[in-house]
Amino acid sequence: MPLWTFKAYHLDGGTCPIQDWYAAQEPAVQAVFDATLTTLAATEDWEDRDTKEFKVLKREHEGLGEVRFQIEGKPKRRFRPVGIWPPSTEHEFILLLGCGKGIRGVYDPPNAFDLALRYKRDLEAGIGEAHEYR
Amino acid sequence: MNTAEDIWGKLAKSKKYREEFALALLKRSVAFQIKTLRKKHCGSQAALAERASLTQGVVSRAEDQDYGNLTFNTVGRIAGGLDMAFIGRFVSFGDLARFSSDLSEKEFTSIPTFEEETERRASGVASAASTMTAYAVIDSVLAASDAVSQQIAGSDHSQSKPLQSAPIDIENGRAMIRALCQTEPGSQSARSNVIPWPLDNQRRQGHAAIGGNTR
Repeated sequence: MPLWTFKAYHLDGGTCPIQDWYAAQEPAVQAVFDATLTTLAATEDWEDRDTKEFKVLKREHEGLGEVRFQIEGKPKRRFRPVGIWPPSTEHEFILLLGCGKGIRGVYDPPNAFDLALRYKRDLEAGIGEAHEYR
Repeated sequence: MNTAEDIWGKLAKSKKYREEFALALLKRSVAFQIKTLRKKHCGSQAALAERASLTQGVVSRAEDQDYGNLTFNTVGRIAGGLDMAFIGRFVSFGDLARFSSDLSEKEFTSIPTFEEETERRASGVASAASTMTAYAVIDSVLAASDAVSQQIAGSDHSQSKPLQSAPIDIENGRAMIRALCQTEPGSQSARSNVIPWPLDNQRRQGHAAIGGNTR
């Protein structure tokens, strides 16, 4: 069994931002995202400097962590789905939303991290729920 | 995305997804294995590089999950540096789903180097030797029991005949069986050991048929 489990944040109305983002991606992006989660789920220490597929966010975005993967091609496309870090439950990562990173470091959506922080606060305040991510 | 069934459900969505997932997992799982094994056996990338006659940069790229141009030669050398083997094999998508859901660092850190494996094999041979000795003692006990049973079955009860049996050392046999059970964790009895029981079935069945102890 994997060491880590993943959950997805669902807004109060039932909308799930990470699932909506996932559904909008082409199969190649979906597959690489799923494969990235597979190796992350098997990795004990996500904060280890050798765990390149995850990064803890600091300063104004503290409380979040981003999953990092890219799709080969010209240009390379980088993706940074965001979740809650550190986890409130051991070995459980709650995904908040999906996000892409453009060539000049511009995120898509541009306010992704601020939005993710808002979702995190909402979840902590009892607005919305986290369900198993499938 | 946690169970093999969850993964299977996604694999069934489209051929394109299946191909991309298998490719992505190939790249990621090999890099994951190298990183996990390197940390356990070598510590730094530089140490593994030295053992594998590669540069640290090559090892770094081999551990990069997004780098997909790893060659057989490089993987083979890294395996050599770790003193273990790497095999690539084709599998069904069902196996891929199971591999994906079961992936763990522990699975790979338990792989022994050749030296560790040699030590385990040596201690395994010693254990097997003591097991076979215990079996020999048990067989001598059973042989004696067989002889007694046969004498009883074939005897004329009107006449009293002295019973004959093979020379046995029961105390030594008991001690060896106890030691065998203690030294083989998980074994419920000497009989449950993986080493084949040397007594043939026919003899055991015959022994049971005449009401002897069937072990």
